[in-house]
Amino acid sequence: MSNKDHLLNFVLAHFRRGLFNQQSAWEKIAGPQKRVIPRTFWLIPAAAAAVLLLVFFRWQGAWTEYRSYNVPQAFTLSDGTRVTLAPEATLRYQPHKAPRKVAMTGQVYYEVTRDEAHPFTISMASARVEVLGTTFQVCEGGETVSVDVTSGLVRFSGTKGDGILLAAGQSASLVDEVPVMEASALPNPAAWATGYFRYEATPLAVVLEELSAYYGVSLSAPADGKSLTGEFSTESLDDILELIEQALEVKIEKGK
Amino acid sequence: MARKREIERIFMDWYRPMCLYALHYLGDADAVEDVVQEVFISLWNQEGPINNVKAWLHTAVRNRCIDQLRRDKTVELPGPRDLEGQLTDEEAFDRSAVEARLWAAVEALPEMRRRCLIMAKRDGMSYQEIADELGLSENTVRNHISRALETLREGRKQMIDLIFLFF
Repeated sequence: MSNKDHLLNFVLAHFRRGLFNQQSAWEKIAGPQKRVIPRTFWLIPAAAAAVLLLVFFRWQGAWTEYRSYNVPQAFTLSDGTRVTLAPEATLRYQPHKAPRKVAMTGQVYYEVTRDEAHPFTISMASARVEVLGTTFQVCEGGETVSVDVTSGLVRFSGTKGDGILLAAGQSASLVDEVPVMEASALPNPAAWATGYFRYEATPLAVVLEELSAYYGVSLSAPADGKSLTGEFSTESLDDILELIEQALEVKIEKGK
Repeated sequence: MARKREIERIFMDWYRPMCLYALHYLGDADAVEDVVQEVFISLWNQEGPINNVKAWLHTAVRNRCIDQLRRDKTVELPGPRDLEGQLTDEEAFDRSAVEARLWAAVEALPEMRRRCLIMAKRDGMSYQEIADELGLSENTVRNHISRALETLREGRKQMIDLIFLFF
């Protein structure tokens, strides 16, 4: 009898009306399309710099603009959302009038606080991203706009139509003004912002390819069908290499 | 699209049980919904048939929850937050269906009974505090709560018998 009361107490302790509603969750999910196109990895060089904060006041709709120069810089928006700007990126919004609507250029990594009543939207010249609460990055400028999702769900649309829904580990780019899903060329496209590399049974060759691109150093090891599972902070390449060499009993050659 | 309809059917049956199952691990409703939705999306993308959907879903959700807990580094040994250590996998899998039905039963309670019950059990309010908040007498509050619990316990008894009969 006490075990069964346990279940009831658990349900009551967490109950909220409308939570875990299968109808609304299904509406959120139903309907993605797919095609596979490889994408190039963007490398951000590290150097010291300062960040400029610009504030324009215009009646009640005061704008705040963030800008980064040559290192990634993180800021927290008025709703608690955290944004990390890659070098040369900008982001502007109205913290009081429209705290969940931002406009950006360049590359930004988002950790959006959840607020189902107020979707968070990102506007760019040719695309729009809408989320309820997730972590992901948006890269615009250059040939196209692309979105890589780290966790949660994101809706990515061009200027027309409903766009597509992306989940954790998925990426998409605009092709002829329509978002198309693609395979991320490398496992951790947002490592520059998140600060770590995560691998799950990832072939060693792919791991080294990503580390090479990120650190600008050529790395190679005998191709033995080895694969790696683990998480490494991006601070020291030598520490990472040492851990991998120990874990996989392999010797990694560092070139350049 | 027959596959989409099939996934939809599985989703409608299992979304809430999986959310409650994940809730035992993660304790945070938002994180739970993200995890469960991701699992259903990967089910959608799965090629080939799946023999035991119930087991597949539970295993996939559990693995993602454990990954999430490791990532958050807030626990040393990834594991659920309550007495699950004493349950077998089968029992834990069955439990999620019962909890989902209980949840639906709470939603279906008449409004005042549900509100009194939740204020008492979830928010830890005393009968007097609830009475003051809702403008009722303490006796009425007590009444609402005991009727609500009666409904839930009776329904649950039937549910559990039914579930063990058919699963």
